[in-house]
Formats: sequence, structure tokens, C-alpha cells
Amino acid sequence: MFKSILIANRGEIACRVIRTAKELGIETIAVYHHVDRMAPHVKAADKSVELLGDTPTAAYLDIEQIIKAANETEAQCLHPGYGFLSENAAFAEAVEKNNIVFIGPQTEVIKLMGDKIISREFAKKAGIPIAPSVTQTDDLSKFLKEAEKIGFPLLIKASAGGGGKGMSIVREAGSLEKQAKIAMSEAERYFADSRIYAELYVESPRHIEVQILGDGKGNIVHAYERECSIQRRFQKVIEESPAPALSVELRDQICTAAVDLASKAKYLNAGTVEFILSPDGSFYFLEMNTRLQVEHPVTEMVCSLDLVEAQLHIADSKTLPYRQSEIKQSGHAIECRICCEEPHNDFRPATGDVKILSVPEASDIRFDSGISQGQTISAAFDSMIGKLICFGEDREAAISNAIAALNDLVILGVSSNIDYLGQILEATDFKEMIIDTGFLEKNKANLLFKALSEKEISTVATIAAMSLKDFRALALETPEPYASIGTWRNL
Amino acid sequence: MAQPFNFSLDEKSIEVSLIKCSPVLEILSNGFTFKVSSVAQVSSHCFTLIVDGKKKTVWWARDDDAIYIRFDGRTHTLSYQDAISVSQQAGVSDNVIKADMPGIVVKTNCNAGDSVKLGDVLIVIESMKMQISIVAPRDGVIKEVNITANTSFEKNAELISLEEEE
Amino acid sequence: MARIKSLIQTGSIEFQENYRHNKGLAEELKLKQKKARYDRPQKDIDRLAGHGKMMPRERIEKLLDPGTPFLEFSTLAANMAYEGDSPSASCITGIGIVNGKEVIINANDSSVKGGAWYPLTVKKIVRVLDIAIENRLPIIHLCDSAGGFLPLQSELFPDKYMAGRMFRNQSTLSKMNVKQLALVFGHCTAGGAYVPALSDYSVIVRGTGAVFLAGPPLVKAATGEIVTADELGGCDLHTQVSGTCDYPADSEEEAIAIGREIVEQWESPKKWPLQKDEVEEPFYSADDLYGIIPTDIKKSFDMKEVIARVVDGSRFHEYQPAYGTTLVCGYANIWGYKVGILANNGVLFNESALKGAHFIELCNQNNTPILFMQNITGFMVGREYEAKGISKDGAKLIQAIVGSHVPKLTVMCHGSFGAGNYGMCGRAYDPRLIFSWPNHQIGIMGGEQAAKTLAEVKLRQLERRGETVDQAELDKVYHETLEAYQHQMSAYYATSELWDDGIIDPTDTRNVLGIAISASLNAPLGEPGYGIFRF
Repeated sequence: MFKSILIANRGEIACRVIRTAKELGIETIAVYHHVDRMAPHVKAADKSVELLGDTPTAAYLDIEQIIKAANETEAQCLHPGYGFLSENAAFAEAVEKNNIVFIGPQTEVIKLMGDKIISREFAKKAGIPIAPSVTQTDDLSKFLKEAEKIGFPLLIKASAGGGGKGMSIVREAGSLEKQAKIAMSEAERYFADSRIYAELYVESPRHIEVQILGDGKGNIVHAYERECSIQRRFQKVIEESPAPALSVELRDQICTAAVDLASKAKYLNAGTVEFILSPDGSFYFLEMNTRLQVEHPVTEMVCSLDLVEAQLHIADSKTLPYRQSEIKQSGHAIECRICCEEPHNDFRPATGDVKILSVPEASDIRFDSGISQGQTISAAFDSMIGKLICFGEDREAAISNAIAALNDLVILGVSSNIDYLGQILEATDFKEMIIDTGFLEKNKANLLFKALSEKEISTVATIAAMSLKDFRALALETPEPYASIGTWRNL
Repeated sequence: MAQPFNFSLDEKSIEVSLIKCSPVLEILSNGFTFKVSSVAQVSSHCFTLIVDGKKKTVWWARDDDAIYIRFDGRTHTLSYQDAISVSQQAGVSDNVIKADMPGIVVKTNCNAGDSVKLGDVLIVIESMKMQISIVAPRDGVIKEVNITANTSFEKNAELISLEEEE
Repeated sequence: MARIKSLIQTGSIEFQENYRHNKGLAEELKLKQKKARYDRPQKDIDRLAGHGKMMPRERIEKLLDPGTPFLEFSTLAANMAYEGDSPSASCITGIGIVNGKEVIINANDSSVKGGAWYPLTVKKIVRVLDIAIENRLPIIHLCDSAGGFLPLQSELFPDKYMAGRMFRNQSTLSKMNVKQLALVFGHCTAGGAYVPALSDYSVIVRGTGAVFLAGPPLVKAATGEIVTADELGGCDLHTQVSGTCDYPADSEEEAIAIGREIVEQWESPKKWPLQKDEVEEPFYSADDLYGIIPTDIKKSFDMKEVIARVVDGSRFHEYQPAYGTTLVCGYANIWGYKVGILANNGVLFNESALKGAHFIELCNQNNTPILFMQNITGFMVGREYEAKGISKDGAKLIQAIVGSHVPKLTVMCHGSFGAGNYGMCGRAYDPRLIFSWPNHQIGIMGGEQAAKTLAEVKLRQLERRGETVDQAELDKVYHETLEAYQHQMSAYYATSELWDDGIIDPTDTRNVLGIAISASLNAPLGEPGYGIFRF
């Protein structure tokens, strides 16, 4: 096993990786930008190195500095987390070139799966179902014609893109050209690559993904599937495992497809294959993420395994830590992404100080976060500050556990989506497994809290008054007999 | 009646007054009366109380003029200002910065028309053998700078003026 | 302690008559006090509003803690003086709670002749400062006065207990480490300038507050200098230049808020630990008191019935129940506080006086405050009683009262005449507070008695001179005397002259005493020590 590891990330995932590394007795090295110098991941690590950057994000994207830090601290391996440089092939290459083991797949596989167009071609060749699509080449008019042939609605995506950027839905032929051009310029702006492709858009699809582990020689095991359909503007909000209302056959087909794809690519280490599941039962390959995903804890809870430990095992020994038969699903887990945002204000990111953080503790509740009480949440980073993952014997139990846990979770000082998440879990459609990627939009009306009534507003103010030291003193510390006599004036 | 406590929630003002302390608290809040009892502290920022017969667990945090409250599964942010701040805000704000004592200007850090923030150093003066930084008393725009470096001034001299607050 | 067994029949004609009469008196009191507190010429109300000033009572209400009582003193001071020009003697005094602390409020009423001090105003203020000294209660002065009422200067300026005494008392309070806060809402002229100057903390309102030894007119007359009130002694001058005042405020609300925050900084008072039990409401209703008090000053009633409507649970532990029965003595709780009570059930005999003196000693030994409930025409007269030494026995009672180191409180429930007033701790005997009921009368002797006596004297005079007895003249003497006495004996005259700390509704007695006892605990107990008891 490695003696030391550098985690090239921050926040909750850095804390998460450090936690497992520590359990395995590996020395942990963190990197941080100045604004993060008091952050939990820095405090948790054995060593830390400051990265300089004009913006905090620039620091965490600085390949040269990070490699330098790894060399100086003699890190034997490097975990990239998710986001930042985790799917940057050049970074993975540079790491390996410096004789540091990259905890992740091979550079070529990262390149392969990182390009949406190339990876789709690869999947198609591997016999994995993909949605009818057409890629934009130099001939725009040819592209538009082919796109029209597929039919509507169409989804236009940036080839080098992700995270919902450069994506749009075209519902009729009339707007196709205009939207295609917009998508191309957005792709250029965000990803420095104007290539787009258009594919058939499945209405009300479900987003199902499969966790796989590979040994780099073609041997793959899967840790079953996750449902990630609760999304807003292509950002996941709630994930769960197993996927509800999925027949054994379909689960089997999807997992097998994932394993096939990964095997063909001779995938090394952990990865996730994402599919679109249509209401009619057909499913299509969406993309493969060559890294650990945000929602990996639901798999860990339901299959009772530690994926980071698995990653380290594979990176170290180039063998798989489990046989397929040893991986079993039991119970149900739900993850809620806790974000600092204002749900009633179009989910605008919120900033402020985390004055109070109180997390419920129980054996079936897991709170992965990178924040501590007293921390300042700035606009520098993503608004997700943690994940609340709850387990239950079955889906119903997991849901009520999650609702209770969200109720007990307290974040004060900066707006968060805790209450909004609770509303989602309480929604009838969610409980009845009527789920697809349009869920949040469809249920919009009953997810946001109704305006408070006059009496409710007064109740809130009364309770707020009772939290004030001055008011409490008047209420509770007036001496006797004055308090008992009350507001009396002699005649 | 004693001065009520003034809060605002989602742009709505609420006046909260204590009516009775004993045997049970009676609190008047924008026309609604609440009976409150059994107030017990759970931790430094958490307490329980019974409001109109229902027990509630309340978490709270306080900022200079904001109160964050969480109970019954919902979080609320109210703004609150104590009595003195409210009265002071209603009063006249100082647009002119005068010298407390005679002295000499060491250097000026701003010009007319500059936007400044609360706490920005505007000028550095020397007086009674000490160097003192004069800072902006609020966010604003500099209207006039009446002194230059190396000039002396008397007590009560008008050093800097700010534009009227909007 | 056993509950007093009430024998009152609320259905009886006598009870009903008494009830109607006394309830009427209470209503009359309420009306008179309301008038004294709130009736002001519209022009004065407008004048204050025009200056951006609050009415003085509004300032007090904003200053006091919510949900707390205010025990106001002498609301009807000066009600029968100055042709009614000075309701409440142009000032408002009392005990209230500010930020959890017991304080005395001393507020000028600028809605009456600009808050000018009449002679009775000065007397009322000196009295409230004495209350502060005796009970070690911090004071908040709400200053807004035009100064002394010059036409009556000879009655308010030169003597020992006149205006100068106010400032002497303030200095004494300061010496005793009793805190004073002055909120300057208006003018503090001449002597009035000393009120904030002698206070530990002072807040002054910009624009309307001013402190100066001489106002602009006097300054112009004296030196020819022409200057505005604000320039002469306004907020900025005193908070930035002279240091006479401590905190500037832009509005009256801000001044009050600052004042409250200042009180918050004061250390908690150290009260001496009087025994306190759980509070129990009286078993019998206080409303019955209207039916218990007779309509005639000469009629008697059972004080135990009154006690039963004032004390906790109507429970009373009677001392020497079989001896000296015209003076009821015993222990009870009021709002949980243990008190010793002396109450009259008839004239004072030798035995009653001895019993009273002994009981007072017991209370002192036990550190129990003493409550005197008066309904007394005097001591028993006659040769038999003189022979038994009733003068000595009365003297012993007085020695016991004066030698007490525990707080004394007096309520004059009905008559308070002659030496009986002395023997039952009247004003001169330093009760911490003394109140009366609307039916109360006070005099050296009863009105009819005095009228008869003086008519008798006139008769003797005429006989000695050998003149013919003119019945009409004798009747004139009788009626004139009676009228004069009745005028000067009424509770309203007494309270007008500040011979007491206010008339209270009998049903308010319990609340008043609860507050009075609590307030009295702020002064440490002295050392007991009596003079010579002439045995």
C-alpha cells in the first residue's frame, strides 16, 4: 500500500478521501488556496501545501504547482477527486510521468471517454446501445439535415462539454439552426472546442448509472446502479440506490452493458457509465465518467464497501479487490446534495458564514462535507457544501430516515436547500417512484414553500424574539413580585 | 407601552411586545397573542419552548442585524436592530469629518469623487506626537477633500466631506 | 398558618350600603387621578408636540420594562392648592422596573406650566429623594422643567427642606453609592441644572435638551449676552465641550434606549434576604373591602376582615390573641414576604400599647418588616387609664417604633387622629412608605369633637366676661370649626399637602404593599437600638 497520497482537490471529497487514506495508514497531503487555509480538508491532512492563484479555482487547476507539491512532499500517489483536474488527461499524464501513481484510469482512457463524440463512437462499436445522433463536422448544413432526419425533440450538446453547459433542447425544425449556432459559440466559450452533436432527446428519461471497477486488463466488476433523475438544469440534486421500479432483467441488462463497455476499454480503477432510460424500457449510453462520482456514497452504503479503498487497492496492486459474486445490494440509500443557495430566489448561490452547523448522528446517517462551523462560504467555489446520505431497510424507510435527518440538520447563517430537499422527499410522486429528469420542473408548484400566513409570520417573530438575550431577560428575569403583578398601575 | 422589538421577515415588519411575564409568558406579535412557557436551554444556540401548547426545538444564530432561526423543519432569516441602532438610523448622518484636535496632514488617500467603503483610510494626520488614520464612517462617495499633505489644521476644521447618503 | 375566618355577610344591608358608598369613593378617586394625570389644556399638548417632545407619561411608559407594574406616588399632590394649577404637583414619581432593576422614577411634567416647580412640587421631589435614600433605590430623573415657579419663590427656595434639599439629597445618594441617571428631555434651568450635574450618568436630547444655570433671558439681563438655549447649554456643548452630560441622543426614543442600556450596566442590587414563601392569592376577595369599610368615620369594623383580604391565603398567625384585643398583632405573608402586622380594632388601651411595643421588638429581633394598618381615634382617656400609666405605655410604643431597624409601612385605612397617629407609625415616624384610602381622615382630633370643644371654649370665654350667651354665635363657631376641620381632614387635603405618599384604592393595597416591601429590601438593615422604655 502507498505510504503517502496527495489529494488534488478540496471540500467534501478531499475530506472523504483523506478519511479512508488515514484508516489505511497512508500519510495524507492536502493542497489549498489561501481562502481555504482554515478549511477542514487542510486541518484533516497530515501535511499541506499552499497553491498560489489569482482566483481560488485557478490554484486548484494549476497542474505545474500541484505536481511540484507532490514531488516536494514525496507523494507516492495522487487522488484527483471529482471536478477540477480529475478528467484532465494532460494532468493524469503529467502525474504518471513524474512517477506518481494517478488514482484513476489510464491517460488514454481518460482521453477516450472525455470526448463525447469519440466515446459514443467507441460505445457504438462495442455494441452498447446509443441514442440516434449526428456529429457536427465542418459542413453545418449537412449536420442540420441529418439532425432533422433523427426527428424531434433533439438534444444539442457540446462535444467537449459537461455539467449541463452548452446543452439545449430543440423541439421544432424552425429553431434548429439558430440553437445549433448558439450551442457552438457556447461550446467555444466554455470548452475552447466548438464541436457539437445532436441526439434524439428522450422525453421524461430516467438517468441510471452503473459503478464499475476495472483492473486495466479487461476484468471488470460492477457495484450495481444508481438513480440520479432528480436534477435541475442537468445538475443532480438527489440520488439513490438501488434505482426504484427497475426490473431485475433491465438492471441486469444495464449493468452488463456497462461492464462490456469498460471491459472493451480495458478500464483501470473506478468509473461510472451513465445511461438514459426511456419510459418504454429502452436505454442508451450517455457518457462515462472516468473518476469517482459525487454520489458514490449511496453505492457504498447499499453494497457495504469503501470505493476509495477499492481505488487505492487497484492503483497499488492492479488487481480487483472483489469478485462480482462478493458484491451484493442490500437495503436502500438516498443522498441529498446540500447546497448553499436560495431555492425561493431561483436557486441563486448564497454566500455567508456558517454560524451554526449541527448534524444528526446515527449509524444509518452519513454526512460528507467539507465545511465546519464558523467557515465562510464565498462565491469562489461550487455551491454544494456537503451530502447527506441516509440508509433504510427499504426505500420507504430510507425516505423517512432522510426526511427526519434533514429536519435535524441545522445550517444557520447562509441560505441552504435543506428545507427544499425535504419537500422533494415528501412529494407524492417521489414516494410513488414517479421519477424522471423532469421531476423537479413538473412538481415545481408544490416543492417551494407556500408564503407564510400572517399568523405564521408572527409566530416566527415571537420565537426569534425569544432567541434574543435582551428579550429573554425581560421575559424570564423580571424580579418578583413585579413579574406576577404584571402591568398594573395604581388606579 | 414599552418600546416593542422590531423585526422584519421577507420585507414584512413585525412588532413584538411582551405583555405578561408570569405565570406564563404572553407575547403580542402584530396583533396575535402567543402563550409561551417552559423555555429551556439545550445548548448555547438551541433551546426548547412551548408555544400555544406545542413544543418546539429552536436553533438560532445572530449577526449584527440578522437573526437566523430554524424550527419545525424550516429556516427563516429575520432582520433585527436593537432600539439604539434604530433610533440612531432615524437620526441625521454625519457627512462632514471634522478634526478632534489641531494637527498636521501627513498624507491624503482619496480624492473628490472616489467611492469609499466603511473603514477605508481616507487621510493620515499627526497630532500630539501620534499618527492617526482617519477612516470612512460609512460606505459613500467623497464630496470634497479640504486639506492637502503637510498643511496644518485647527480643532473642528472640516477635513473631508461625503456626498449625501441615498 | 390558619386562615382567618370571615364573618362578613355580604348580603346584609349594611354591607351593601358600605359597598355602594366605598365603591363610589373609589370611582371618584379614579376619576380625580385620571384628570390629574391626563387633563391638560390642548395648547400645552400642542406645544410639546410642536417641539417634538413626548408627553411625560409616554416617556415613562417607554422607559419601563414591558409587563411590569408602576407604583405611582402622590398623584393628587397639590389637588387642593394653587387653584388646581399644578395637577400632581407638576411631577410624576414612583417605583418601577427598568431592565430588570427596581428604580425610582422622578419625572418633571412639562405639560403643566412648562414643568415649573411649585412649592409642593419641590416637596414631592424631596420626598421621593428621601424614599430613594431610605430604601437605597437608584433613581432615573426625567428632566424637563422651566425651573422654580418664581411667584411662590419664598415657599420653595429658602428653607431647609425646600429646593436646596433636592440637591443635598442627590449628593447624599451619590455618597451612599446609589446610582442616578438623568435623561434631559427639556430645560434644566438654575437649580435644575444640578439634577444632571449631580447624577452619575446623564443623557441629553439634541435640540430640546439644555442645561444652564441661567437661561437666555436671564443671561441677557445679567451680562447683555444674546445666545440661544441650544448654544448656551445644549447637547453638543455639554457632551463635546463641557462634559456636563455624558451621552448625546438625537431623539427622545434614543435617549430612553440609551438610558435603559445604561441601567443594564449597573450591578445587581444586594437585597437583604427577607423570608420568602410561595405566593398564595388571598382566600377572600379584595372587592369585599368596599363593603367592610363603614360609611361613617366614627363607626368601627373588624380589621381582621381587612387583613384577610390583603395577605397570602388570608392566613394570619395572631400574636397574643387574648390580650390587648383592641390592637391586632400577628405575622402573615404578603406576596410571599413575611411581615408583622399591627392593626387597630378600637382605641388603644394600656394593654394594647404594651402588646404593640412588645410585638414590634419581636419583629425587629426576627428581621421582619412591620405593617401598620390604622383606624385609630386615639388612646383611651380618663383617670383610670392615666393611673395605669397610659401616657407611659403610649411612649413605650413610640420608642419601639422609632428604635426599629426593620422597614415600616403604614396604610391609613380609616381614621388617623391625634396620638393614635403617632402610636401607629404616622408620617413623622419614618415609615418607608405611607398610603391612605379614599375614606381616610386625619386630624389632631375628630371634627365634631374639635367643633364641640371650641364652642365650649367660646362659651366659657363669654361666661368669664359676663357676656350674654349668643347661641347663634356659638353655633357659628361650631359650624365654622367643623367646616374647616372637614376641609383639612379629608384624604384629598392630606394627599394634596403631601402628608402621605398617595391615596390608593383599597383593592390595590396588596399590590402596593408587595412592591413596597420588595423595594424596601434594597437598604441594609441597621442596628437595633431603643431609647429608654419608661416601665
